[in-house]
Amino acid sequence: MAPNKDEKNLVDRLRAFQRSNQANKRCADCPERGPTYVCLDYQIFVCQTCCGLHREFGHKIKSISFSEWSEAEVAKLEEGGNELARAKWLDRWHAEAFPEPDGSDVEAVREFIRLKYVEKKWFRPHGKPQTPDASKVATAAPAAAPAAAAPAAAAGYETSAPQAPAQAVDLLSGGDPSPVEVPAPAAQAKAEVSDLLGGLDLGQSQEQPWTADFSNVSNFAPKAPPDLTGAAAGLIDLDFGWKLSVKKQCQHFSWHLSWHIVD
Amino acid sequence: MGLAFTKIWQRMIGKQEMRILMVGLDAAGKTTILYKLKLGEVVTTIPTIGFNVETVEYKNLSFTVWDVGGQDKIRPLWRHYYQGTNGLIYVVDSNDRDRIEDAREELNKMLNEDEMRDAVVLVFANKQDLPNAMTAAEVTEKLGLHNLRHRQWFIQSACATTGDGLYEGLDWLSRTLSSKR
Repeated sequence: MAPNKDEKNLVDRLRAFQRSNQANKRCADCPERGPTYVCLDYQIFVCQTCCGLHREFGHKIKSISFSEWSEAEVAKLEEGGNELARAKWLDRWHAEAFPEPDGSDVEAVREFIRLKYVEKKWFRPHGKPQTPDASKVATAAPAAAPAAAAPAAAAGYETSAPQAPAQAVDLLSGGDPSPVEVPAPAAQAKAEVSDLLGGLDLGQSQEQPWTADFSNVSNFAPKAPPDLTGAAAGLIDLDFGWKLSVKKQCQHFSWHLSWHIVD
Repeated sequence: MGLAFTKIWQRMIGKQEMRILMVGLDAAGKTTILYKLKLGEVVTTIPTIGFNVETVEYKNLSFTVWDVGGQDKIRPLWRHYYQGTNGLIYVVDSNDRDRIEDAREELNKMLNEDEMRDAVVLVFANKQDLPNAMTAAEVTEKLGLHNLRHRQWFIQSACATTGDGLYEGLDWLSRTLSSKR
């Protein structure tokens, strides 16, 4: 009875994975404890009620006990889980915007699931780009490249964005930064960045939370035309890593300025 | 004699009772169909463990519809509901191309059972509202319905949430079952 043994092993693995993380012991979409179903689309453990709601949206559902599992399905689930899914799908979520449903109101849970997974309202895949609002790019673009049409400017931004961190590294690595050459690209990068972020003053970068404007930007994400996705990549790449490098750049730049003044 | 009279009387004025078994893979929409027929509304469902049973009056027939859970490991329980079945409603998720082969296997397995030899078969090609849904013709082909021998069958495209096609299916069932008696 080899298949049965394999099957049992797979279910054992599922249960072990569920036990391994506290987040998997609670439904991913409501406070219900001890979820008994898995939503394969998002690799999450969900309760019976939420499982029924996910089915309404056409998401694939399996019961831990009553379904037959394949090795591939179990392996994929093990790479996910409720904790990761929460970080991914509720990245930009705030309780004030939509309080987490308490599970007693099915309508609220359904809406929560819809906004979370179908509308991707609070979604941000870490390290992955997301499309910004087309109009934002269009308004930001002229500042970065005044002569160019919006799509071209967006493309220009796409290429300039990945370069900026490299410049930052150069600046910080202590390689003799020529006062003439270096501040110029840094300033340019800063100008683009600040424009795209809605006119943040770089001088306040230490106090200003850089992520603040992203929520507005990516709310419009799905509407961006395909040719702007590249620009989007540039825009959202300004993630936490960027935050740091740009800040350092600013510090460095101001240090340069003061150095010039003293000089 | 009394029994014969009762039967004649029932046929004249009473409603004939029909035992209907409704099965299909999990998430095909069986429970949604059952309650759409019974209540006329779309209910929030959870996966059925065990069964739901409701009587649905339609035309001169009273259908007793047994809706049995369709998850993999509880499918072997279907056979406990075979006995005395007049009609089988087999529900297919027309949008689930990945599992249509499973659906075919389960249907064939069931129709090979001796207890099901007299049952007529109504297939609901459900979820026709979804853009990528297989047509009834495609489902017919993928289930191999044309290969069925000595079997009265009918396929009806349906959408449980709107109710489209459900009563057309019941129409066929009532016509077919009435003429059988």
